[in-house]
Amino acid sequence: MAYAAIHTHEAHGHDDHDHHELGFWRKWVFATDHKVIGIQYLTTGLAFLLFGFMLMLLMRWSIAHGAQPLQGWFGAAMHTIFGNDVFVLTENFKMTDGSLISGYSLTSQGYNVFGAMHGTIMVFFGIVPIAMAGFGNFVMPLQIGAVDMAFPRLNMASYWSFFISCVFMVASFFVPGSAAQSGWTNYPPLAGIANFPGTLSADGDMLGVWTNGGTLWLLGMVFNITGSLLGSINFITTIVQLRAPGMTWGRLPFFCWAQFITAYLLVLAFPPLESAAVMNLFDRVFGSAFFMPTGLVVTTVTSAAGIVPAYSGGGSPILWQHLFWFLAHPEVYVLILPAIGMVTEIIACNSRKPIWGYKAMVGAILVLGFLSFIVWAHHMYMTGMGPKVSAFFQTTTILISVPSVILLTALLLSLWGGSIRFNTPMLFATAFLPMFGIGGLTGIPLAFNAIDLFMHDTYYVIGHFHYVVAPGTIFAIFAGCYHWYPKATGRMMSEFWGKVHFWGSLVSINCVFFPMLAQGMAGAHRRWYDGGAGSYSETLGNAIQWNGFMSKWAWVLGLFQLVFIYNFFWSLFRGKKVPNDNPWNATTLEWQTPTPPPHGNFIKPIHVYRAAYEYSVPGADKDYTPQDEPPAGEALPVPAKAPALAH
Amino acid sequence: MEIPYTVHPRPDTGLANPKLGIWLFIASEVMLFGGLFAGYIFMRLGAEPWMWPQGWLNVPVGTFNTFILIASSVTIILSWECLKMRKYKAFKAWLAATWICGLAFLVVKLAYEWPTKFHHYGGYVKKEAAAKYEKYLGNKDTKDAKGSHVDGHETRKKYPRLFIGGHLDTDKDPDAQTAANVPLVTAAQLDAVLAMGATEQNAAKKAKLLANRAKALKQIVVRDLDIAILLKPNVTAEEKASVLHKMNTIHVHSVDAENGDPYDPSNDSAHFIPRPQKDVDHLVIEKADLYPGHGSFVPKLNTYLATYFMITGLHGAHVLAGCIVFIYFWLPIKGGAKLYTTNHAQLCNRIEVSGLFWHLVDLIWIFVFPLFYLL
Amino acid sequence: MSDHTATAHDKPAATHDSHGHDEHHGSVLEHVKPYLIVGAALFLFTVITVALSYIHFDKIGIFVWAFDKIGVHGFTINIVIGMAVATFKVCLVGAWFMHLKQEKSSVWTPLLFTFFFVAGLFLLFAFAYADPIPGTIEWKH
Ligand code: HEM
Ligand SMILES: [Cu+2]
Repeated sequence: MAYAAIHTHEAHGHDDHDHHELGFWRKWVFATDHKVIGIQYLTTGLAFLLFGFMLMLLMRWSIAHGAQPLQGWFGAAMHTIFGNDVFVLTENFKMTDGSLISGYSLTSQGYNVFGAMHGTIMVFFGIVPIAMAGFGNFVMPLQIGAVDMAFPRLNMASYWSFFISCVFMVASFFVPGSAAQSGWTNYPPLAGIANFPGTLSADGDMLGVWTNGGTLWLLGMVFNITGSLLGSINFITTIVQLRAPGMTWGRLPFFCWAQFITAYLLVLAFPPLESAAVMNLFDRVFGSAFFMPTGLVVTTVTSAAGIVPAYSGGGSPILWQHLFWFLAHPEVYVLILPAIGMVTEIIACNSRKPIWGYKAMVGAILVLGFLSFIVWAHHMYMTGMGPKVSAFFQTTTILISVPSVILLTALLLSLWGGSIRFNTPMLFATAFLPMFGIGGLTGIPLAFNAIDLFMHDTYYVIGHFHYVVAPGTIFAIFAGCYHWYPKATGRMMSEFWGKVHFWGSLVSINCVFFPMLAQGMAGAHRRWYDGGAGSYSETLGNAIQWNGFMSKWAWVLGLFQLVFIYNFFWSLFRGKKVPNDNPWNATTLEWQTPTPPPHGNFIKPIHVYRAAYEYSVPGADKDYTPQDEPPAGEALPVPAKAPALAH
Repeated sequence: MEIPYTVHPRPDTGLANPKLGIWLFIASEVMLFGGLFAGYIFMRLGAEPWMWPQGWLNVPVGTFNTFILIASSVTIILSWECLKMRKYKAFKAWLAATWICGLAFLVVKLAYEWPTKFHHYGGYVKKEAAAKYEKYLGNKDTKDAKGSHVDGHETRKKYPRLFIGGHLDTDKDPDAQTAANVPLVTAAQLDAVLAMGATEQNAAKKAKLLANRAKALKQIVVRDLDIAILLKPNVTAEEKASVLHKMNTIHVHSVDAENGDPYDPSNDSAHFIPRPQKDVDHLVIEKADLYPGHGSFVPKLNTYLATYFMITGLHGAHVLAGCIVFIYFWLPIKGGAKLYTTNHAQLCNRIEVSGLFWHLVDLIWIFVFPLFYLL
Repeated sequence: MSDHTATAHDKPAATHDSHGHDEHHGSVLEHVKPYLIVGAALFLFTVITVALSYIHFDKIGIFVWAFDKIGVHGFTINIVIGMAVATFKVCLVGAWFMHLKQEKSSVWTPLLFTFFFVAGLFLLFAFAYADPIPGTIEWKH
């Protein structure tokens, strides 16, 4: 970059001239380098993904086995960690075969805690930090040929804001009354009164006004949202301002387009949720009644033993739902768009052919981003909306499935006629397509309110969105991990263990989620702590048996993730060293850097000459042509002065 | 490593990074306050009309604050123009004027407007109990000496006045305000609290419960003397009842003008100059006659105050943030006014960008002022 | 995006004038006159807003008649008028103080979407509120 050399002569007030080696703290902890921040997000996010997964295993135990005690030592361990609110000692529990066992079992309150925190953590602390903040931070600036993000210190602030929110969420498990219990959607009035300050925990401790699960959840969300907002502003500015010379919008890799739209969704959709979180905080802490309707009677003996929750009333629980879904529908695209972006990169690279319909895909995500702001009330058909409003949201929801189908179709057609390399990233990327397909197609019936009145809040909905986010987004995340691992570490991940991980995950994840669709259609409701066994076993009939099946396969799925964890760390030290900077023979710019890329990223000035996916160009000497390779006959521009970047 | 376009605009977009950044931030702020105002709209649409108060805020003070904020929007622009024209002294002076205005706004808010709310007291009388307090509510169709309706206006008939507001006699009883905020306590609730820990076997847990019983008693009975009575080993039923009675009644010292003179029709519409309170001899309100949420003028009282405190609070936080940034740029430090000599263009950028933020703050207030103070 | 290697950065750093502003050392007053006028207008409209709020538009025939056409009655007329004046003031601030009058499309485009979505937020909320399943929600206004 020629200008960089000149710029340094300006007498700047800047204090981030990094002409010296940074110390450990500045380099790895309070880092401003986008790659390090990306890795921070990735590792934190992966840790939370695992944590959320484990919460789910406990939750599914409750669904399948109700109050049956957990295995002796394991139950005791869980009880030590989570305390009396979540686990109780059950003596002489009668098993189906008539035998009696004793041990620690989950309380129904514990089920609520795990359910709420599983959803929250997976969405806001797992997938968004990994797929958007992690991969976005690491890959996007490299792909557009930038030296860093536009505001490196803001980038650091985003991460630390996110980190504070993580601390709040984890800490909330250890305050009296345990963590939040009102679902990841945090619907009032339950969200206003669960974990209520002044009530007593199982240990007889009084819940504090600020230190209780519900309030900490809200505080965590406020920090999480703030971090996301700052990060997204940074992403957009970077993509608009820091594209390398020649990197026109039409040459932008699709992953960057996806990040761009995602960032816009966050900037414009997250703030209303932040305002809703503030209102909910007011309700909980200052006793206001934004979401608390008139005439709500909340009196229990324990609440009498503290601040009596007497609400002035006049609030509306529906207001929360509007503000929540105004974010949370765009949020589902925040979950899926970066994933589609990654899959696109990997499919192009491994099918050795340009993406089919790049322009149509870009158009599709633009439309999708726009429409996603006006479909939110399809989550609220059951709130008493009249036929006119329902018809409106039904129409927009069906409209939005058109761009989704365009994306999927373009990716499928991209495979057509390619000479596909089925390495691990590609396996995950190709599996993403049908899995996302099932997820998307099962959404379409839900769009019609006549059908949704039956399906709403059943396991069918759970099946629907888990197909999108679990074998969808999370598979894309795995694909991304295997694909960019060599760039970040200089070593390849093991192919053998990668394939074990893939096939194991593919089979078990379908055994977990497919029965949900059937069970939901049979009428199984979500958020029953005993999976319906107590009161609904007759209505559910055979469908109830799937509870145990799914819970078992969830453990199998967990086992195969151990393979990934092992592979991840093993490869860090023992993995095969990359043969060169571009082990996959890819075209995009992140592969035209040293491995791992140094601070400042590129050691040569970058100029982009061609579109993102020039694979197998007829007449070319190799089957890929990097974006910065000048057209034949054109000489590289000679930098005016020696670049000041190399260090 | 140097990041391009931190100061100078990129040719094809025509923007420098900070400017795009701040506009995106403004966009997100618009959505944030959009959410808050959506809350306001919902609250107001859903409220019973008689529950949505008018004329609770001091309009002259609000107008003054509006003027201050608009003035500061002008001074920040002047500061920026002077900076661009390299008039250092004028730049500094206008910048100082800006943050002084901002701080003045906050002082008015935090030292006058909010505290007066906290010292005010009020509650909505239940419809069925309204007759008891007729003297202060004035809903009856009374006639004056000439036989014409004094209370002939439509609104009151449709929506009876149910609110009584005023001041409590905190001179005689310093705990009066706190006690008035406590919701109605029933005998059963009191007994439940007193019984806390009584049957607990586990010694450690019992100690905890007893400690919490003390905390809970403090919250629902407030006055130490009464707590001492309740904790006596042989507390009689009469003593309990008398404490309960004390907790569940409120002794009002003076009432708002419209309660003091409820039949005067001019008291029904908002006044530019707030009218004085009126002393009352002995008004005793029973909490049982009030809807829940009585007490000081805090978010708990009604949804109007909840939205008021939330929106003005968040707006105030933005004012504070703006002031801090301006003071930082005003001080002769490396990232601040010193940039005038070291990197003039960057200082111009900084003032412009923070100015944009400041205009946003002003812009929000332009909506807040009429919505809460006037309409 | 054509050749941006030859940008402002290639200019000598000392001139500092690549900011796009002309460095008139002329009269400040002349430069800031529009701002002062807008500022004065904002003051004036503040006074007008306050004054308008004390007028009972629902008692004035012509207003009742006109607002009836858009389904607005009673005190809500005052609210609509008050908000209209506020919106006008906000436009003044936006156009002059925030320079939206001469801002680039890179700023305008996202802002337009923002306004559209805020409008969607308000209107669709109100729409959902105004169209309940008959008999489920009681209208207060
Ligand atoms: C093809 C387009 C899609 C359509 C038509 C669609 C439709 C719907 C509808 C109508 C619901 C509400 C069901 C109910 O609660 O009764 C729903 C729920 C949900 N959808 Fe989709 N969806 C689509 C794609 C997606 C995608 C791409 C995601 C991405 C992750 C997603 C994630 C979710 C989630 C998380 C929920 C449930 C939220 C909850 O209640 O906890 N959907 N979907
Ligand atoms: Cu949705």
